[in-house]
Amino acid sequence: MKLGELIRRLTFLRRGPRFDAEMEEELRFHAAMKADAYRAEGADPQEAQYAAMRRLGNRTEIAERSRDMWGWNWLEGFAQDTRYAFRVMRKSPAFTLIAVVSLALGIGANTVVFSVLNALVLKALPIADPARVYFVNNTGRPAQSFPNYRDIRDRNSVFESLFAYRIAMMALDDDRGAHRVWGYLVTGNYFESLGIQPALGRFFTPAEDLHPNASPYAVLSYTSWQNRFGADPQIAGKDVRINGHPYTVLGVAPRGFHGTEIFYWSEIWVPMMMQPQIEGHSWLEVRNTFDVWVAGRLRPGVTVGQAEANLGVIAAQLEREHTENEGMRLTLGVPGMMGSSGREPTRAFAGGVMLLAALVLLAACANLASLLAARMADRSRDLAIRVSIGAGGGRIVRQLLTESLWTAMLGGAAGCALAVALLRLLSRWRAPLEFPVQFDVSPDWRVFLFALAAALVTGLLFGIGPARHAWKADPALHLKGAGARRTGRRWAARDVLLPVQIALCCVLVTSSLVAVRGLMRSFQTPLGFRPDGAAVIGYDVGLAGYNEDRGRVFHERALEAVAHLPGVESAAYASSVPLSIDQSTTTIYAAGVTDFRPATAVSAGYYYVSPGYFKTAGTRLLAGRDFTPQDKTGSPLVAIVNQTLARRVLGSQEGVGGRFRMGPGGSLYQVVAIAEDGKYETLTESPKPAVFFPLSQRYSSTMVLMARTRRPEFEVAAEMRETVGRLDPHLAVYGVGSLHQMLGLVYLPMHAAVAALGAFGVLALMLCITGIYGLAAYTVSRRVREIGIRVAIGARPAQVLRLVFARTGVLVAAGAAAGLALGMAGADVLGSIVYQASSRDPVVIGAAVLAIAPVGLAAAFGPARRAIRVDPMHALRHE
Amino acid sequence: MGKEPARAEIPPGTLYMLILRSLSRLGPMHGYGIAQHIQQLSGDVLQVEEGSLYPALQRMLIKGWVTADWAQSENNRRARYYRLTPAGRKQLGVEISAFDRVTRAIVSVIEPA
Repeated sequence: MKLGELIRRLTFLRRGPRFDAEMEEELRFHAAMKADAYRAEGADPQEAQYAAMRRLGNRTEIAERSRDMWGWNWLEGFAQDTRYAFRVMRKSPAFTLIAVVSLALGIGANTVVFSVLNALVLKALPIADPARVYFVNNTGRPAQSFPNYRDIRDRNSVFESLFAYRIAMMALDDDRGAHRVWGYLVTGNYFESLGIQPALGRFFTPAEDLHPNASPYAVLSYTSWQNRFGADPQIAGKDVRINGHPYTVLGVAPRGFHGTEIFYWSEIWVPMMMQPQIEGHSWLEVRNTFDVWVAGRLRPGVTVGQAEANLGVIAAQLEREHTENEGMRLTLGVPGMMGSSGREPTRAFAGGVMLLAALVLLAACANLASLLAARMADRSRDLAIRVSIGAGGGRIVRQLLTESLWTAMLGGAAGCALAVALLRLLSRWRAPLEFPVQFDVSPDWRVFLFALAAALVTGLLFGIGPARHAWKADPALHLKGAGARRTGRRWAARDVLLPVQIALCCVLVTSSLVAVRGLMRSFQTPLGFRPDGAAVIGYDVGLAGYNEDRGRVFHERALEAVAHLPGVESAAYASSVPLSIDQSTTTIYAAGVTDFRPATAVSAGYYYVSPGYFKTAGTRLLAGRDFTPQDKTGSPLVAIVNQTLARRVLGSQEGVGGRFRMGPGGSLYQVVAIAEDGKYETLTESPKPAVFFPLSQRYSSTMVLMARTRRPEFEVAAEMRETVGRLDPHLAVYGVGSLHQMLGLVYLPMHAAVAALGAFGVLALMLCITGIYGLAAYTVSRRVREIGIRVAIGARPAQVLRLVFARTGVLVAAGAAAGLALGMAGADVLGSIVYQASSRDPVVIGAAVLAIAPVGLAAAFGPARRAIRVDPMHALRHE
Repeated sequence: MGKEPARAEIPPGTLYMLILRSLSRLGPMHGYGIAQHIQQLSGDVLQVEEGSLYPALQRMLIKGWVTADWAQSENNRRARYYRLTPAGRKQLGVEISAFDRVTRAIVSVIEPA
């Protein structure tokens, strides 16, 4: 269509109302002229006029066909239907309210879930041309060693640029003292690879990341610049102190850019070559520790397949050249969630929740469809009249669909508003962790499009049944009032809808109960230590510029001071605690192994701990002795292993006294005790090897200082912080609180799952109530007359109730049974998300029944009361 | 009205051309005048149905081939006068040459060899 034509068609809309009058006048003129002509031929004036009119034919039809030329009749029909639809809605406000509210809940829930899915899986990082940027997975894991990174970078022919990055903790001095901040160590090509522009100043370049400790530069995040430096416009070029060393701020990253991981919001970027200074030791030349994440921008036109083929060749070379790289496979993944290892489970989880949300919406649809079908029977007379005065079947169906679509749109708009409010809260929420986990789930156009689509589909879904029914209806029957009576006993579509809806709700209720129960149980899971009654603080003396000697002295003094706090039963150090975010693994070989390939190694989590750690953490030693102050530098190297490591490395005979080697060709350690197994990385893991080394024989600048106490953990932790603060006011102390808090990240996905499922369960129950209530109320109102007669001839309330609710009861019971069975089958899927979720748990089944039965009774209560209070006189006069 | 001579259907697609041609000859004209004009010039063979004429005029308004204005008619009635636009004039040329080509082709097919 040409533009001019479009404009003319649009202006027609404005003068549309005048069109009919003009057309009428034009045709009247035509007739008058014709009549003149007949008169001129000698006809009688009256006769001439009649003849002219006859000749012209149906003027209305001519006018309508002329109007149709403009192509707007569908819009007019729609406007008409819309007006009528709103009139119908206003006429039954209760139904409209129930419909809109249940749709708002259903669509709102879906919108929220979709928005999260969108933020986590669909939205790309805020960088230039994100489709060409890929994460390089290393044999299914995210991390790569730095020398390997350099080799891959230099040998590949598919990446325009390949960069490495690492999450790092730093102590940043501003005018208020030292603060621990989370940032990134990144290679010099990081920013140019991402193709982003600084909000202020400039970024560092590859030339500024060539030699260890030679490029003390920093780039601040926008938020950090705003919050910590008061949005100082002169910040570029100023010096800040990081870990006690001067660094020059080069620039500020653009707003909205938080780094290359979606969950982790970095505050600062420092060149990779500064790693030794930032972290206190260097792995820049170490090939067998995996310290950096690698991603890069593919050359234009290079496909993923070509890139992986090229990487495959390099992996094979690296495997030949270095035994550490045995079995190496390099694959590409979408960046943002630790490569494929984080993305896949997240996607599966979000997809699962999305599915549940869709079930909620489906239940809402079934709910509305059954209510609508019930109402349809009441309106069938009205519709029959419309059919008999000439409305086509198609016209009626269009009318009914318009009604349900507008209801759905209202519900969708309300749901969207609800979702936006909730998402705003969620975006602002920061997980209660010491780690900057935050996600931006603010809705974008995709979310609104989704909500619109959901509303449209919903409207069609719940509107199509009644519309079909109307299409098939025989108007004559309804006009006689017979149609209405006949449907009362027939097997109607709504008899299926109610059980379906109840079944869906039961599935949701059962799954949410399974999840909650799983969460409750997971708190009772043996962790291998007792977080209750343990107060912790963390700090890193390396960040305050301590070397090993000064650090050791400081650790000693701090421990001594904390141990003497009132109410502290024991206190100890650990380089990190199990289940916190900071987990490291090392490779262990049995003492007899001489072939140091990855296949013969056992990967074990390791911790450096002080004497008394096991007592303080509440970990039982099954055999042997705790570390003592006599285990020091120069004395024999000792270690304590857990049961799993003892079994895997020491063999069944040896226990305490056995020996193992740490690292390929590394030193031999003697096992002095065996500790009970525990959980180290996740709650759902199967038993993993772990090893503890005495702090006196190893050194760590990062420390978790733990105290066991009977007093409230927070109080003790606050005192511990004060005590350590007195020893060095410039030390950034973090993670102050109970040990439970430090484990927050482990519980986070589970909490999320339980929150989501719980919300769905509640939603489902609400839908159950409206569904059962709607049908019961309808049944009663349909049969008021019959009840009246029965009461008049002496029926007792119990008989009335049985009469009215026998069917509803059977339907609800059937639905509930089916739903419970389905829910239990489906709950097995939950086992992968929620630890210890089991559907074959009598408590769950009992609770589900207990939750649904009263709901059904409560929903039917109002209508039931109405049924037994029917006044026969009144009821019989009613019609 | 049986006294009128034998009428022929207006061949499909030619109504626009006839209207455009009438307007180019008459200048601004109302619907009745257009119908009369076509009927007279065709020696009463072509009779334009009002049921086709008015929708066709609306269609031509959409296409921008004609514009319409209300004016006083010769015998002092208000009438809607249609006026050919430059686009309409161009369209007339297009339609005539297309029609010409088709007619000649048809004639050459049915002509005795």
